[in-house]
Amino acid sequence: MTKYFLICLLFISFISCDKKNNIKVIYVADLSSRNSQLGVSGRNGLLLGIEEINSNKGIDRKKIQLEFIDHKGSKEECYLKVKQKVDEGIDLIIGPLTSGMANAVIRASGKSTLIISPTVSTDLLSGIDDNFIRVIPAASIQGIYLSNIIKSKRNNTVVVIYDLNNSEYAHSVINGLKISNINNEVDYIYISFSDKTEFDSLVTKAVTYNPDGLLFITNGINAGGILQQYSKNSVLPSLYGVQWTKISDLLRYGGNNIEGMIVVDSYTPENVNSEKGGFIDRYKKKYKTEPSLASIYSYDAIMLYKAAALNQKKYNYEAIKKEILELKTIKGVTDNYRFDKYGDVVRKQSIFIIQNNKYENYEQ
Amino acid sequence: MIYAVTLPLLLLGGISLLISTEILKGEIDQSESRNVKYLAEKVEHYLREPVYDLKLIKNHLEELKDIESVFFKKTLNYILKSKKYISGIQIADSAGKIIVSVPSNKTIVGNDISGHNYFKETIRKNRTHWTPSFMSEELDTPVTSISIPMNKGIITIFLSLKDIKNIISDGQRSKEYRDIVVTDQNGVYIYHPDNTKVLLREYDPLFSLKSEEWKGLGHNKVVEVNNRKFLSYTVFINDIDWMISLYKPLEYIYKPIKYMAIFLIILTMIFTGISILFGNVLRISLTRSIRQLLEATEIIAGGHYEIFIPKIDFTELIKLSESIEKMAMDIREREGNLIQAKDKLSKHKDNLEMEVKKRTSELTESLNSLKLTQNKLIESEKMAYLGGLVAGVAHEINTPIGIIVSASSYLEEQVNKFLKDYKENKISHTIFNKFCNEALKSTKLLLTNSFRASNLIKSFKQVAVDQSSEHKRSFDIKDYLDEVLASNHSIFKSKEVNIEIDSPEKIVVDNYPGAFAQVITNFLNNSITHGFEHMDGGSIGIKVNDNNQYVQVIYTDNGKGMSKETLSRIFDPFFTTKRGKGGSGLGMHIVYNIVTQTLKGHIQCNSSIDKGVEFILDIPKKI
Repeated sequence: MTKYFLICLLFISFISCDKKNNIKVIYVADLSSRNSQLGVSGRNGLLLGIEEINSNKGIDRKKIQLEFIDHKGSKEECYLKVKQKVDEGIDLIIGPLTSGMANAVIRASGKSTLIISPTVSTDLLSGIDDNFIRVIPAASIQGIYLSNIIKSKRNNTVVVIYDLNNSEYAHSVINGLKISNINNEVDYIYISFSDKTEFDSLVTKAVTYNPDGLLFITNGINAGGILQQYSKNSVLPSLYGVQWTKISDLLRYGGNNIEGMIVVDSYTPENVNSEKGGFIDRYKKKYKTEPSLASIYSYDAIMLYKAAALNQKKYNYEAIKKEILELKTIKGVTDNYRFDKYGDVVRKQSIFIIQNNKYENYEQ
Repeated sequence: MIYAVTLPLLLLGGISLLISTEILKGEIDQSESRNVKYLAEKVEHYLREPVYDLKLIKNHLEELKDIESVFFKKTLNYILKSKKYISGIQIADSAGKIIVSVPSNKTIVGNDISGHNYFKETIRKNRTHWTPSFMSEELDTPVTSISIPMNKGIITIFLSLKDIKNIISDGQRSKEYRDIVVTDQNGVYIYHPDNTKVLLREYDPLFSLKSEEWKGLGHNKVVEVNNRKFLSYTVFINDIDWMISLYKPLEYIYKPIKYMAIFLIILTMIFTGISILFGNVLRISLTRSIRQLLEATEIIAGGHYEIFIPKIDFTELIKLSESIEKMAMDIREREGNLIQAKDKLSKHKDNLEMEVKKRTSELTESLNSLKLTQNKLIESEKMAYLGGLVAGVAHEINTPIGIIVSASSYLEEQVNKFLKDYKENKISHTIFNKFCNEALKSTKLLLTNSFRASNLIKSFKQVAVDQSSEHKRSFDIKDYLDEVLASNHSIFKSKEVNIEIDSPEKIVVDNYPGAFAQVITNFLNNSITHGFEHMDGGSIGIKVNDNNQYVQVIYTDNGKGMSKETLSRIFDPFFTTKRGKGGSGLGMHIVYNIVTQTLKGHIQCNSSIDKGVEFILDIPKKI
């Protein structure tokens, strides 16, 4: 009798242990608003990564349990939903995808849960030793890259259009532009917009400057929409876009207007780390479309966690973060990368030009 | 008994269950396949209906040939209002620039849609194109666009997919639990019971599998989602590549089967119970009847043939009881016959015993007579052997004695002559030397032959004493063999025989030396008489091996050997190849008896024609 009781007890503890041993992960992104394209493609990449890990016996036999947090572009909703999950107990937050949401997520995490963001690149989070890690380089680097190209093309007046919904990111890029423009070779004019702004009035304002160039620190849909209106009012000048613009449906919404536009990014299908090439094929097979940088970096984010957790075998954020910073070279889908001591990623950036509605490598 | 009843029932139950499961699954398959096909038709109709509107617009435009015509725009507005599922109509030129947008939106007119897939694909394919679904911010619901090509561009209708939910709800023919999902060509949910998945643009996890392996087949398969198994039925809508899938949890399918199994188990248990009850009643009645029959047979066995068997219920047992009664009568009759036969047999037996006694007495007498004869023959054989031995020895001694006599006579003659010369003073130095030499030669001859005679007598004495006394004593086997050969020297006088003894020193045996000598002498005689017959001579070897407790003596000759038949009978009494030529046929028989009975050893003979003979003796060192 005692024997059977003990066996039952063992069985129950085994089952409860098993449940407890799952790694709980939440993915925080905009998944259902007009600008959800980025969040959805990031989620798709993350799902592929988790499928791959779980089908290979998980991380140290622990399966990853994923839950989606759809903040619909609202910081307050984002904070409340993430806070609730943190209070319930989670191991990892993947997200957010825009810098505007980063503070909300960091606050909600109570600095007790590790956050790995695929695409948040604001400089405001650089150089801080906290629970926030990202796999994308700081946004100011994009500003430096773009400013150098603008100078080389001798554009004297450039209107910079940026989205206030992601002002942290925008200011980081602008900071990069300023760093590279110490001698004021280029006259940058900054025009911001919000959800309430009519593109017509924004375009009218921009056209009055008769700029040599337009630089978009917006998502691709908004950049496309503004350009549609701009092209109706004036001849399009040289166009520039940031990584965020490129990875959020610019090609679809920009039409022919975006031909010749120069953007910063890390990925084109030809620029793939051969060891991770399988991800691209699987992504295309499953989702019938090319993966965006958000998909790739979301996949990189969960694989980074796996690599660190496998080495560390502890799941609190300090241990994992320590391990991540000690990893010398991490194999990402697009390239190999590493972290500095503050948890800021060091990885290469590339410049592309749109030709025939496709991204081609840009050579100066 | 229980197994005999329950096992077939259980087997039957199992088979019924399997058959029922298959039938039930088949019915569910048919029913759900019909259901999902019906829903697919409804969804397809919903998706294809706007194509008629598009064609109507296209025809109308071709007739009017003026896109800016007020009448044309009124027509478009009428279509938009009358068809609730249409959320917008758009006409773009061949460069992708929007020319007309209904409802009217000046911001959109003039926009470039050349980067959008619905424009690219419609132009590329030059036929109707349905886009993958996308979220409409205004409607907060998934939308798809349907475009058809026209002369200079495309016409597009934006179709709200909100009504898909109603189509699925209305179209379900049964209230049984099932999940219906609708996905677009990218696998994104258009309809899912959990609307969040639609709003979050989630993908059907089985989409890749279904789209690649099941396409066009309307498959039903068992699939696993979140550790739960479902029977999945999928129908594809051709051209549009949307899928309508029905997931029915396996547990719902097996529920009725489970109930049926429980029912069958209960039924089996009831049947088993009833069978056991009836079986017990039957067993008691049958046991009682059999016991009555058993008692009757015991009475018969006791010799009482007047029996009474009470009434029995079973037909077969009634027949058996009648047979037992008849058997009793038959036994009584046969027993009488047997008693008579027994008396007759008893008389025969007495006569037979008398006859056997008489014959046995006669046979005993014959046997005694035979034994007597055998003993006499053995005795005479022994005497003959001893006679031969004595004759041989006498012959051997005769020669040295003769020489002694001659030498003595010669010496006497020489001495007398010397005395005479001495008395006559005729002894010269030469005569004295000659006499001394002659005297020494004669004395030497006398001594040599006296020793020889003495040795012969000594050997003969030993052998003779051993053979006559039959006393056990210790003897050195090698020395004794030498003595036996010496005492038998005479038998080799007619043949040139080379004898070699190969024996280790100091093997002492405590046994009957006389018997041993008799055995060796017999071997020697046989070699001369039989082995070397018609031969001038031969070789004899005697090899002695020390085998711990035993001494092995191997006697061999290179004579003519013997046939297999002779070999097989060599130790038989009275078997001889020299019948009528002096052979008694007892020599080897005696050897066999001496070895096995007196020496307590073993003997074995090996031989074949022209290959000589080999006797192997194993004699215990101590008996």
